[in-house]
Amino acid sequence: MNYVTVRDARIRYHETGDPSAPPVVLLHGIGRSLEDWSAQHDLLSADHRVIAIDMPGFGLSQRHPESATLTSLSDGVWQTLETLGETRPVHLMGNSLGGAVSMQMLVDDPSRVSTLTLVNSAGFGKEVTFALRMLAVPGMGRYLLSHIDGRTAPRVERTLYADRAMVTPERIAMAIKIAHQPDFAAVYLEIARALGGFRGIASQWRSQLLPRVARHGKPTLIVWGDRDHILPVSHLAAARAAFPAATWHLFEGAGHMPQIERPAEFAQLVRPLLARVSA
Amino acid sequence: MTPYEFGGRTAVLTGAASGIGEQLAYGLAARGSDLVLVDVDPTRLKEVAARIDRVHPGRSVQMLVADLSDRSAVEGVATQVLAEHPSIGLLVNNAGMALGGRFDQVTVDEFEKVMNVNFRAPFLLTHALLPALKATPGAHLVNVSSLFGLIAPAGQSAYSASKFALRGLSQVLQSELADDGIGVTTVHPGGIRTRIAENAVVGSGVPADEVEPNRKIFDKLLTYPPEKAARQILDAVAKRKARLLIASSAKMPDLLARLLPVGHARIIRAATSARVSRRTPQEVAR
Repeated sequence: MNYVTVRDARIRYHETGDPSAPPVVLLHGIGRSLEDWSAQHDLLSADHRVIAIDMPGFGLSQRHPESATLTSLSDGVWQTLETLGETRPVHLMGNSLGGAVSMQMLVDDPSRVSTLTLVNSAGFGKEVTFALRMLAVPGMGRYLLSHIDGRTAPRVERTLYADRAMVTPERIAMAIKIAHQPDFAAVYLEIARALGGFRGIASQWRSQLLPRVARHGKPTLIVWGDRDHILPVSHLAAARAAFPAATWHLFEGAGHMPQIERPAEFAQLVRPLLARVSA
Repeated sequence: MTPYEFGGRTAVLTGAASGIGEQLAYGLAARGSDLVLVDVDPTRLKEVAARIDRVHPGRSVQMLVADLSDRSAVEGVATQVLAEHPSIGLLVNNAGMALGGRFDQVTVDEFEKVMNVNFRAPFLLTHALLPALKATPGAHLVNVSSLFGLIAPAGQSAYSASKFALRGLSQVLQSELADDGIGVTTVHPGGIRTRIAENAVVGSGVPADEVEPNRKIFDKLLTYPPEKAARQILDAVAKRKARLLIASSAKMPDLLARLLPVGHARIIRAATSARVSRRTPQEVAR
């Protein structure tokens, strides 16, 4: 894994493929890391520069001083790409929170986005796992996030996949390592509170962001796993309604992260989208 | 049915932050169960979880903060439990709330809230978690009804209605789930020293000068230690008992209610000094 310094924060990234090939940027979900995209590097890097980033304050990246919001994360990812010398239009792929950040990046700088792939993305409804809603209960958020250990981490990991075999000791160990980063709880709670509360994901930012994304008409692919416990599959219908021109796919028997639960199928789905614009 | 095995299984417990529920949490941890603790009070719930962590560091304790009067919160709890625990050994529907005042002194909203916490939440949670219970060989369900699920004294319309309803559901499930090897225990505690009187909502139409005296009378009846009640419940679970009466304050009225299905009401009224006002706030004002 490599690190770059972006505005005094050490940002972790993983890059594969020919640096001159068209760039693909991969963004993870809340409290997660670039490991959630690990399986896609081998599948996509033959003809792309594939860059996965631990967003500022997530994974093993340090935080930026400002409170985490969609805009601050969007800025952080754009600045990281500049630091990596990548200023061409990118194929953005975001899972969960990363999907919302991708949409914000598109709105903030549409000329630098060629396509958008939203994977079980936030932004399409208020329903979200009870575990996240509970973080909004006064006093609970910090307590729960500071008690991620060998007993609690496997439980959280289990909610992410349809197939429990995905919950490997390595993934559990990584989740614990991430949770023990100094600013993990603070950044997690900042973005969680910026986007919602105990009643679920707030509607204001969603209703503002989606029409602005739709207006740009970028080629868009929306995918969902039908056994997502974090953001329910009913959000796929809302996403299709918000972006009627987008192509879409439902993974049967997959959870919140089809990009690692069904890597080959996922890569096959995104290749035509990437090829269409690269050509 | 074989005795219930507590060790290594997950128990889901509502109303876990105080009273009988808190003691059940300690008892279940001591008997080797992992726990999912549900309560509306995050501060007390954290204290209970922290205490279990200290005394039984090997147990997994998960907290879910939820207001069980809210249907979406109950559904949220169920979804969360199912996502993390495909099989659970024990579900204890313990959370409950009290409401004082004669039927015409309580509002429809107040009545409904009691039904939602005491009856709808157990029914929703049991319905949603049944697949996870069936996935565990020899699972068990506990519904904490009440003495007022056996007798129906004046001034307890919503509470009694909810506890009779829960008893009815629980007894039906006891028959239906036997085929799946799931035991069901319906618990009728008498006066247990818990926070239920302290936390009781008083009907909006109850004259103000009667609230405190009535609360005190109710409170005085609550004498049985909750840790003893919890121990009896867990022993009843182990033995798969269908029905458990706790404290003589439950046993005597139960006997009376069975001997005198109608006439027991007068005896109960005479035996307790609890009185229910016939006055309305308007009359008090005059």
